[in-house]
Amino acid sequence: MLRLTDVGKSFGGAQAVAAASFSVVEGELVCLLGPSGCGKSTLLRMIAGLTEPDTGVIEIAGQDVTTLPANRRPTAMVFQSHALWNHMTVERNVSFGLRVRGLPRTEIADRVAAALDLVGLSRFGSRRPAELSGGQAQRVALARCLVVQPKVLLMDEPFSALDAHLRANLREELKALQRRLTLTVIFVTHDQEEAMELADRIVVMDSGRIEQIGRPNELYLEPQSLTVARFIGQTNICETTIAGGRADWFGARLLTQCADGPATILSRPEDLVPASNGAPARVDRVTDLGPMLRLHLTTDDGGQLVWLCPRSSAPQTGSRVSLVPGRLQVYRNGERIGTAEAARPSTAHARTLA
Amino acid sequence: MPADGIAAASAPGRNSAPYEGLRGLLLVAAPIALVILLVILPTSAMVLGSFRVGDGFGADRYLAFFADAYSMANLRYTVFWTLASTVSALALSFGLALYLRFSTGRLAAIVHALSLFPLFVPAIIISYALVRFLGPNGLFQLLLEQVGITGYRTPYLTPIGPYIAFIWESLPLPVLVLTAGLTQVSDSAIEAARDLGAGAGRIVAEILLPQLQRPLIIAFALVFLGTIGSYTIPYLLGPPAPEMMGVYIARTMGNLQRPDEAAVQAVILLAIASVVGLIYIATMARAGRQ
Repeated sequence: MLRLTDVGKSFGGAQAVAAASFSVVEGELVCLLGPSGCGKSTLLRMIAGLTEPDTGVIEIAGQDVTTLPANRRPTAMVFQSHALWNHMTVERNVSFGLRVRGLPRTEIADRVAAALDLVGLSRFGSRRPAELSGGQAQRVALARCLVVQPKVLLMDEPFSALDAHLRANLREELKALQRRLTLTVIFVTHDQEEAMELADRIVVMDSGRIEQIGRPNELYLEPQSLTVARFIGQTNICETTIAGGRADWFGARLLTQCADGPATILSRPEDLVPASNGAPARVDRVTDLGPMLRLHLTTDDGGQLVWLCPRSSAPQTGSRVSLVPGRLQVYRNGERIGTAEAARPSTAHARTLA
Repeated sequence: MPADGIAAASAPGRNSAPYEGLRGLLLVAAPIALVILLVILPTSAMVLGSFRVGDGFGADRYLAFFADAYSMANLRYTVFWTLASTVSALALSFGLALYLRFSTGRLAAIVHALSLFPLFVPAIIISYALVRFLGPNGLFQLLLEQVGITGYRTPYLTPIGPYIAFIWESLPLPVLVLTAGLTQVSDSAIEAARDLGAGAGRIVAEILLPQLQRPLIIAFALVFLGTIGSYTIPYLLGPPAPEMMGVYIARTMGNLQRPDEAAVQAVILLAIASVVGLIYIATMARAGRQ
């Protein structure tokens, strides 16, 4: 449905987006994820036609739209600030795109009613945007886009200005709607939890470059670069050296197939397991997350670890524990080079020392 | 003890409140007194005086004004050319404001400075500059003759002369007001319209103009009120007859030595200006409430 080939954009010599290439199939929801200033919104605006790319080709449904102005592209965009027109009623806002297309009045009325119904705002047609809550305003902005039946729906951090509870609700509603209508959606966000929950695939961006494209679980379990690993989920980082297929991890010994040399070893907090031959550490602080506890530990060699631990087997603050990573990734020069495992794993019992 | 402390701390604030109120009144007293003494009192006296007939009151002088063909021609001429130049200035300044809202860089800065330039030029300079530029053997005629166009007839003694000068003189205010109004319309509001398929014309008509209603009314009132009572420009430019009301009133008062008739002319002009002034005040009040 959408294909980008080497799309790039610079602003005054600063590279905002560098040769971005990826495809989106019909009915897919793809999230562009990255920190502020990584180029994700610029990329979205180039797809919308609001920013002209310096290089590359953008195709939508097989048609090259690279040079087409925004008003002639089969896309519609939901803006972060909802961008509703306050001098128009909700109905007039939603019908705008249809009036531009010169559709008959009866068809406009039917389609506007259907779009408002879709977002659960049937009774709000005569209201002004100023009379709506933040969530309702974003629903109207979504209806305004859906009513023109775009080939690709673009969403630029649409929920970021809303409170956490409302954001979670709207995410669920959007996902359900996207599945029901088989919408093709590009969703920009800096919130990795939002991306993990919504996306069929995630495009992780940093400093204008695409770092990795993959399904949420791929990105989480096997991040291809340190940047992706750090951005998606929490990680324990250990700078170490591999020599003869062995490496030290905060005092515990790891075995690996990776070549000798300096390495960065990443492990997820929930992948740490107690083991008699693990890294010795002391529990500094315990944060209660409800179903799990988050433990902040200091290893005997001064390293910092975070351990997500089931409530039933969690040690107290001040306790001594010994941990190994059950799953880990090895990186060199920022790129993933393989994996490793704890030597002589022994995960039978937690060794709580004091 | 803590309660006493709080009471003691808040006491000076409570005691000083009436003095602060008095101080505030004193600060506005001088301008209010000036307005009453120099504007409201003489205006009221003039309005009252214009209805005085012998020992009583009546509308005789007004009836005489409305029955006089020359006076009515002057009034019509004044209102028509004031409206024409106001609408033209607004149209021009809307175009300039649109350009300034969506353009950046050196050229936009130069255009901005040029559009504000007339603000710093007195009306008499503008009038003589136009005479020198548009008048017989002026720069414009010389330029035309350079490219082989002859037979130029200067418009400076026709209504077009003051019309051009009014537009030139009043351009900065609506440019400022409309540019400020346009900055209130967010980029995303315009981009959302573009994104949904709207071209430039529809964006102006359906997105920008409706949101500029208030700035447009304010700009209209400012330009209209500044033009309708003007004296210097219509005194130096335009035909000898009919006359703009400003010139007519001055001539009735000075040359003809008929202050009573001049007062009637002034009250009629004031009435027209008051309508526009009320629209301006109502618009400002509505903006204040919102």
